Amino acid sequence: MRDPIGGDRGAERDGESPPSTPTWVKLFGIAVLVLVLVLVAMMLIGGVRHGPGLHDPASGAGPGSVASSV
Amino acid sequence: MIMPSALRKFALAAHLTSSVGWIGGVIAYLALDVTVATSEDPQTLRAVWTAMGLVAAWAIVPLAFAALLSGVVMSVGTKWGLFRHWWVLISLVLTIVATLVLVSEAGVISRIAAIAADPTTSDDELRALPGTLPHSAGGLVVLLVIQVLNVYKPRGMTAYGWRKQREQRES
Repeated sequence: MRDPIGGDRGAERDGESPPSTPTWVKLFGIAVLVLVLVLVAMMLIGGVRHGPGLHDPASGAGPGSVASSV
Repeated sequence: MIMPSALRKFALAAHLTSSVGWIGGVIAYLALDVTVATSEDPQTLRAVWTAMGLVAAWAIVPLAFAALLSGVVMSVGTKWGLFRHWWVLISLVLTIVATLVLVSEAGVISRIAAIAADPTTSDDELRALPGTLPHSAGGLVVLLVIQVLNVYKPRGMTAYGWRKQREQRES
């Protein structure tokens, strides 16, 4: 395991102000945001349903609902 | 509180075992999920849904909670901390989200498995049972992202971690 403190030494250690958010964190956040937006767009435009109970046959919400058999 | 070396190694072994086991469990579940999506044979569907219910309830869910708990212990009990480094924080958030979605899905899977095991369920109803492929595939991607973060440990300290480090240096 890398030294937990040493791995972040350098500019962050000597600075007087908190370190800025790393680039990889910003890119990761953008990627997550894009994924969420795509999913929301698919739900709104394409009629793709999502969320708890989608697959639940008892809810009658799933595409292949067999609620009548429960 | 920093754990003694022997305890830290035990916690690390528990965390590695449960985390990698969680991924393995999801891959096994994914194979069954693909079978549900592609098979039309009622006997196969009954057997596979029963297996999916068992794998989810007795392997994936317990391993998920073990991975989450051991991960928190590893973070709190070492210098990494829980909120000091971005990779730890993001791993924690992703693990919590994955566990919550899993628990929600596990209940659904259990109910579908019970329907599939019911001898009164007709063949057409068996074929109409909805699979969980998007969730299991998405879950595997999330777990692999967490694994990559944990292996590479990309650098980057949070403002909280930076403040804590300064306090420790000054004291």
